[in-house]
Amino acid sequence: MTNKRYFIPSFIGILLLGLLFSSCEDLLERTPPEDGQNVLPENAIETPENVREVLISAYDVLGNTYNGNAQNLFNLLSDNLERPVQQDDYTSVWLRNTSIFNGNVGSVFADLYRGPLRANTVIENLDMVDYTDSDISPVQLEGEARFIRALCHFDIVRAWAQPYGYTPGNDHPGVAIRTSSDIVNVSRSAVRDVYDLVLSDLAFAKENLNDVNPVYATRWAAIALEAEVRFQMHEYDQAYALANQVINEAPYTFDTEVNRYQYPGVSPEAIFYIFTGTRPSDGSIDSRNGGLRGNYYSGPDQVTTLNFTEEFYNLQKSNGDVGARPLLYQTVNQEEVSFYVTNMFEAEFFHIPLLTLTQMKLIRAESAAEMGVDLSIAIQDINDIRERAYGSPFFNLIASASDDDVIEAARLERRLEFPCTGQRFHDLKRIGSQGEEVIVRGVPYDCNGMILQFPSTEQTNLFPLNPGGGC
Amino acid sequence: MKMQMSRYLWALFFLLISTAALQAQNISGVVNDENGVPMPGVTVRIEGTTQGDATDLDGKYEIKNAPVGEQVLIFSFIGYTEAKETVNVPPTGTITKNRDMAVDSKSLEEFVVVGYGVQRKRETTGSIEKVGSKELTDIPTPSFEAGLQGKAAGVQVTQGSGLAGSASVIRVRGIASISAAGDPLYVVDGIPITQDYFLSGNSGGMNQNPLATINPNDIESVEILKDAAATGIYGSRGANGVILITTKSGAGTGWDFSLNTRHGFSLPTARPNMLNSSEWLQLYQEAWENDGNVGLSPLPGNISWDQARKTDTDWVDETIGVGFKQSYNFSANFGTKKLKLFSSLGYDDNGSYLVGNSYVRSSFRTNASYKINDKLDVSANISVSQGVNNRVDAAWSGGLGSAMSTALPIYPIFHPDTVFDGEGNVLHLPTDYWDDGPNPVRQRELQDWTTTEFRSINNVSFEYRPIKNLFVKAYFGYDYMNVFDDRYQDRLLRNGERTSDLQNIATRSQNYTNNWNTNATASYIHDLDDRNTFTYMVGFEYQDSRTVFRPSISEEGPNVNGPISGDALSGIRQTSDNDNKEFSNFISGFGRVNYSRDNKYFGQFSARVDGSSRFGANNRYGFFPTVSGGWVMSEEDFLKGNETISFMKLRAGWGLTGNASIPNYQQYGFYTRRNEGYNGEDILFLSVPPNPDIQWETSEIIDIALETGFWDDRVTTTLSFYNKTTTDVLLNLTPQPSTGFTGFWDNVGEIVNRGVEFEVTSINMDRERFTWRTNFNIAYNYNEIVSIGNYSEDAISGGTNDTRVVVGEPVGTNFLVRFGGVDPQTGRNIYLDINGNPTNTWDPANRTSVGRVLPLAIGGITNTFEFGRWNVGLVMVFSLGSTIYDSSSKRQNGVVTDWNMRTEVFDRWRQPGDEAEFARLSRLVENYGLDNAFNNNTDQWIDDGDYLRVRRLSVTYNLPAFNIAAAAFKGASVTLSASNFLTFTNFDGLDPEIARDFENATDMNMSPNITYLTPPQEMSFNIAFNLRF
Repeated sequence: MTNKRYFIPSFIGILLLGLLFSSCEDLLERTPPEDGQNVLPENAIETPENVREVLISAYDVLGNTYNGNAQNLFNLLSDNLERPVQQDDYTSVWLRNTSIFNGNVGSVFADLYRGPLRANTVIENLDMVDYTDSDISPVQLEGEARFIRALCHFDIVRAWAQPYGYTPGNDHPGVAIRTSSDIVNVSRSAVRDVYDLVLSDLAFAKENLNDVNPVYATRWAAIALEAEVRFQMHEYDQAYALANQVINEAPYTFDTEVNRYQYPGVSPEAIFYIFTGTRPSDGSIDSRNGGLRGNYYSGPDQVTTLNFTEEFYNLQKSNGDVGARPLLYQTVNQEEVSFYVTNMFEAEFFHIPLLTLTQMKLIRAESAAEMGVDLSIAIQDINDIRERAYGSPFFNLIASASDDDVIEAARLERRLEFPCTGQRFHDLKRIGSQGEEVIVRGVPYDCNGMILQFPSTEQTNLFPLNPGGGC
Repeated sequence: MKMQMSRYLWALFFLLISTAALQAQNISGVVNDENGVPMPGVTVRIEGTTQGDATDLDGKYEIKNAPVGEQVLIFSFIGYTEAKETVNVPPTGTITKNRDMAVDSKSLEEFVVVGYGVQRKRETTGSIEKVGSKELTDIPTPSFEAGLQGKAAGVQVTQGSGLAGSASVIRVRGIASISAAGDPLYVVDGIPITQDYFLSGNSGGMNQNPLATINPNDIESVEILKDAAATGIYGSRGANGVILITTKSGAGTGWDFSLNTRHGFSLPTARPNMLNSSEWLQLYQEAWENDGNVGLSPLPGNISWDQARKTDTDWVDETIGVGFKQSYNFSANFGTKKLKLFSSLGYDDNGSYLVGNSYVRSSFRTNASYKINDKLDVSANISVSQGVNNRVDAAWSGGLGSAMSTALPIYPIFHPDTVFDGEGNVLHLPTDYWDDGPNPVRQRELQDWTTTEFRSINNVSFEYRPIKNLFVKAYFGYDYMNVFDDRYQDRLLRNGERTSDLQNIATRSQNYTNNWNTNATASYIHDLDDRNTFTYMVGFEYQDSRTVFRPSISEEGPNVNGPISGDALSGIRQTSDNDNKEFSNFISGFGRVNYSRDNKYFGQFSARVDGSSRFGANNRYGFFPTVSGGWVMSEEDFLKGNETISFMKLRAGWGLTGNASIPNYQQYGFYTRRNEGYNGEDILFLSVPPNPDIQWETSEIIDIALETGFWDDRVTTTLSFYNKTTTDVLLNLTPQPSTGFTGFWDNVGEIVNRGVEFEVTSINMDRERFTWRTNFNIAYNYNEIVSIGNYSEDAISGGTNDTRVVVGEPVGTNFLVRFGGVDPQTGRNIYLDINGNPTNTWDPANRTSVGRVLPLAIGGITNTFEFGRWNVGLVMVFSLGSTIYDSSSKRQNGVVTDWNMRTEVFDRWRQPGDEAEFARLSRLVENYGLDNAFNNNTDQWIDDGDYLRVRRLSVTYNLPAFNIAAAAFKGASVTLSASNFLTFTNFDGLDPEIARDFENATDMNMSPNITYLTPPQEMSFNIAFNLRF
């Protein structure tokens, strides 16, 4: 009895003590300290401004991806560049043998999908806040988010899958479509489905975006991007109409400068661009051109990784050093070897136009010639560009130039005007996939190594990789 | 009961009468322990009588009025073998009989520490290994846990690299975790201590070792709990085993002092065989010409051929030296009837063979217990220690790592001449370290780098016994750890040239952890009747851990000449605004019921409920029950009295335990806000998605064991089988990158570990002046990943290593392209595609499981020889059935780059018909069929990892009590010891025992036996003195 008298209360005491604490469920709530940088999801999105901050974070991703990092991969697969100097990851892209472990390819791939993730986060949070007293419009937010989602998917499918037109129904393997922020493994969508997503997003964007939206995406940007998409899809009539609409209706003017990488002003013909801004706190410059300046020639003190082929250099100089455009190119000697470089990126800061009036004119010209209509407009477009390049009409197309002449000229001008954007790579794919014979540095445009390999973890049971081994 | 009592009384009475009637004399003597140290409290009695005595603090006993004639003395003490000595008591005078006691190898009567209590080993139903203090201090180790190697079956201890203070990797019964830490739970005197190896990440090619500040001399015993019956009481944290560290406490009466010193030196177990200058130039040029170039190749580091030919720096010699070690440990022991006190002061300067590298530990401890009255005891343990690691860069970070890679023999240490710029300014003086390429000497000498860890582990507890058999205990523990990383860099290290204007800089980063633990338990021993006893225990525990990472601060300027000083710190105001804080807690309730019947049948049931802030809202509490039983068969009639089998016990247990090593806050997810993002606007983005389902991983463990003693327990064996199925394995997954996320934690996988352990302890010889004992243990472990959901092998990768998770294979499998040799016609590498067909292209699609980073069997053999006052110990450890992936050789013997190469590469292809080990030298990756020199991941670099190593050889001479002048000493000993001086292995690389620096817990789990410029272990030679007074 004596024992029980002590024993039971002691046990009950301990148990009660335990219950007392364990009933305090709150005690187990150890939420991360919200230090201004880390915010719990339930506290993150409270105002329309917060949704907009998420949208700006998607632009931020674009700024860190289209700073040259993405464009360089595309360009390395074209015939513009020499074998890279001392850069294994770039070398294997150039050698058309990217593996699942290629760090550069993997990080650009991840970055290109980070844009859609953040765009999707915008879309998923649109209904979480009240816009009553705000200037921010949810449809504008969604339009911009869908523009970014379209832009990223478009570039991913162009580089990680065989091009549109590679199979008649475009049901060949494309890439993952990401329209939500859920962590789920998805299968490889057909190329057709990826383009469908891009077009539907752009349709929404065209419908809902404002005409004016400094630094950010406008309705014109959506139209211009769709022109690019339709052009890539060989839908020349639509490409023509859209490019024509931008040229005739949008408030952009044809730049008189051949080098559109400008600062502090933005090229007047830039429809959408990567913006190098200043930080409000101290006025310092937030440069977004590292991928270009860090790899192409940016001054005599830096070893350049990416240099042009002699053939490309000669092409630029084929009319001699007449006019501003050929003068953008020079040879430099580093460690007793000659390299062909451009001095386009010598300025420390510049904005990077992604969609331009020059492009629209070249799309309109080539589309017109493909359709055999409005050739005079097409010829004028080409000649506008040539006169700016060479400073005179001496190298213009003649008024009687044929469709083929116009097509040839448009393709050449596109290559010469956009030496570092990856435009050449996209053109080779487009031309090849419409049935013309295209050999790039000795291999067919559609051989295995001409598309980039996915990063290792993209592969699942549902998601086969691209064929390995290169070409 | 009454009958029995009266019988004893009669017997006693008779004995008293008869003794008085006989001619009586005295027996006296001293009883020493196995080290010759006097043992207090040993019972000495005359067989067949009740006459006896207990030894005093000096080990002395005296039995008065012993019966004349031949008598047998029985010496007994818990944990020691009962000894018998025959004495012939003469009719007159005193006969002296001394005795050295031997540790009871079978240890069945020994007490072992279990979770929240102690148990007699005989009664335990779980699998527990005990390692005593002496075994941890025999040889200097970077950290105490290294001393466990080879001592306990199924406990794999891979000692860290040769870096001072480096951590060992300890795995109990294989590895059951992938991304969550696979380490056992360390509990020091009741408090689960902070043991995160990655609080300071991987810096300088080393992970900070939170165990290194613990003074091994303070440890009384280490118990390793292996199965669910033993670890289940630790619930969600017991799945990978529990290591209970018990520190010394006061004993006996009066004062007792001990002084230990040790001096020694260390050398690497192996030296890298790098090319010298002319060899490297020859091969570099050969590759250049093989690539179709003519003339002399440009050399890296702006070095001319003329300079290169004149330079031949042996960077290995420049980074490796002789490490010196010294250690002093003073301890005092004091006891009265009420107060027991142990106090120690330690200083240990443990220099590694890497020039400039040492770990210096200073420690103080006091453990005291006081009996307030018959019902209440209070005890307190206080320890403070400081570990100063004088750091050097290693592995990928520089130092010896550079010497084995990018520091080329053509590079000089100093600029050969004064160098001017165009305007006549001095850029370099000849005393300036050369800096146009890696220069490990420059890196070391122009930098002062220390990591200082301050640690204090304390507890206070009260035990109250209100009535007989009821024990109520309240416990409060506090573990504090504060780590400073201080670096000073001279301006000459930061500047390429003297004209550059970067100044001297001192930087400091810091993290500290406050870890509180409190528990209350009540235990009651319930003697149902003479035969049946129940012991009940219930308890409650709360643990709260808060780690704060402070942002790095720095001080720069010409007047900064050393690490950040206190004065400077007050000048650099540091607010806590930018501190990164991580808080976590556990709330637990637990209980245990033990049952014993007739000292023959034992049962145990335990359960624990754990709640933790780390678990998601949908899985807040985990329940971890165990049930186990033991049957001492030798008490049954069919074995009782058996002459061969003196003891036999069968035990079995089942239970669930968990692993809760989930990084904090994973269930919440979070958005990240950055000010002034794109276009100067603030940005906000979802960086970690929430996972409200995240929970512990669960191991279901079944353990069956047979413990046997033969020939009066002269030989004892334990044979155990276990099966451990771990589900909800925590994976830090890399999802498809197209999700836009880089990683998240989820409970996905399943792992099986099953194995057999065998341990035998025998007294091979037991003569008057010579004893030979052997302990042998071996453990076989089978490990298999059963599932990883629908993720690919690459979704969880072992850090920078090339190990992967592959279903059907062990955790951490080398997943590599198979190498098919060098084509004798072309000199190109041949790889095997997935079907085994040769190809010249390395394609990761052809990767397959090769090699085995986990050994099939591990174990140890310990032999102890005692002859007279001499004691010789020989500890050997072995690892069988593993392979080693030498990740550095893919660069050292692969594509010719600006890495130095190893002499094996001379066996390269040069002309058609050559049967060479290595391909035709080239500097173009495509000539090796590769896309990147670092992707040269093939089984060409896999090697046999088996080894048998002499871990320790020691020779001790024990001196019994002696006097020097007026000073009386209770004993002394001198020990000569050597470690790691002999290794039998087929491994071609440096050292087959490898624990490299790791990136994170996943890496540590998956990438043992991977070496990447890892410094080899050290061998050491030492002399130690022990003086007791």
